[in-house]
Amino acid sequence: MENNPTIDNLILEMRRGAIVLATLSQLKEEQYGYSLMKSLSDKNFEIDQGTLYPLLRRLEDQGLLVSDWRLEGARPRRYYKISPDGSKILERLQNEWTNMVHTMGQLLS
Amino acid sequence: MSTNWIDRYVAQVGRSLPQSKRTDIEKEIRSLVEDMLEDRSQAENRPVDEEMTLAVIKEMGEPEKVAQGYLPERYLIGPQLYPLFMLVLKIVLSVMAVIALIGLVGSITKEPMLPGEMLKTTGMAILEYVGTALQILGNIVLVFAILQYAWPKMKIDLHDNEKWNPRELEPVEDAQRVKRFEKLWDIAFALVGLLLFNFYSQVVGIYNLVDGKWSFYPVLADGFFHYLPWFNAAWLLGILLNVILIRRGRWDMPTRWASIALGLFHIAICSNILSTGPQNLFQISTLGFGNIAPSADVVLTSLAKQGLIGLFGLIIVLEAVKIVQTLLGMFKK
Repeated sequence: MENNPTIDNLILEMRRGAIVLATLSQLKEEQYGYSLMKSLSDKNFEIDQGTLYPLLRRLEDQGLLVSDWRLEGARPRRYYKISPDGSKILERLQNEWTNMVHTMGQLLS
Repeated sequence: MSTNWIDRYVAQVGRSLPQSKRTDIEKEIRSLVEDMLEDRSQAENRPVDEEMTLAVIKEMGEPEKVAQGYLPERYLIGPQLYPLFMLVLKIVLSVMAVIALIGLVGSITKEPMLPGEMLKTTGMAILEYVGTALQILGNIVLVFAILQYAWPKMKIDLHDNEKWNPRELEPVEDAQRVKRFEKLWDIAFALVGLLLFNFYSQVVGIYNLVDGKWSFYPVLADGFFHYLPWFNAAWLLGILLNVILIRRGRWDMPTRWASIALGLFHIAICSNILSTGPQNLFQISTLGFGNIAPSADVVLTSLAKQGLIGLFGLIIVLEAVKIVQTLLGMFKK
């Protein structure tokens, strides 16, 4: 049962919606991709780089994040931060999430 | 050396990315690999070496897969256009099959053939059909791929949910149900044909009222009676099949195959008539019919001949269409 691809897929699908919310929530302060991944991991939200990096770019394309390259020593790093539009959407998503948790709690009890 | 592996990796990812995004994404991936290496070097408390670099790159995953993560799903023919594509494909290939079948029957019946020759002709026709079908498939795919490419720019929505009205939903048609009324008509026609041409053929003709006197011109020629046993067989078999269908009320595999066999039998008879000349079945000379000049007769006769060729050709096409429909009905649930 542990390595059932159907279950893996279902869990992945369930997590997919939450990933955007988790990412936006952690970018009130600017962070570069790897540090964001680490900080999410420290809070027990595991996400692999193959998912996070393209997601950050997509969110930026949608105007929810802003980014800029900065040189740290000899190394360039791209810092992401939530945009004003992103903040509004984060609030909406947060409400939606709270409602969903409430509803699901009732459904599953 | 270690940087070299990163260069190679980043370049390999870049090859699968569109030009417009390549440089930026490459830069990002390089930055990520370096962050991961730095992290690992600190965790393991040793400097970055080739082994560590390769381990991190391995962890990143295959370059093509990494690039895929940055790209939207791409289709040659997307899910929106796919149903239309399949519909067009089915129609075109069915029409082609009918045409090929007619061509095949035509060439087999044109002149007497040995079974071996017939088999060879059939094999060649099938090969030719497959070749043409593949070519046409390619063309249709090309047209749809262009449509797919232009689709987002055209902003056309095939399915307008606002305009859609549930009251326009089509009634469910049971493909296996026999339409009894239709079959009764078929039986009636076949019976009329059997009785008329076998027992009252002398009354089949054209009646003309000239100067208050009826005159009669027979239409059937000797050639017709040569074929009559075959017509009789076709009518009798048709009646038999239709009686069975009406009794059962539903199509099933044996009746469908029987219907296809009967259709092929009709096509064979018509093709044979076409190859021997349909004008031999009927009296088509108009001489003696009213006051028609010999010069007009030539034209009329020729017209009648062309008309008969067209008529038998049409019957073949209709029978072939019916066969295709029956075949499709077999696969419908």
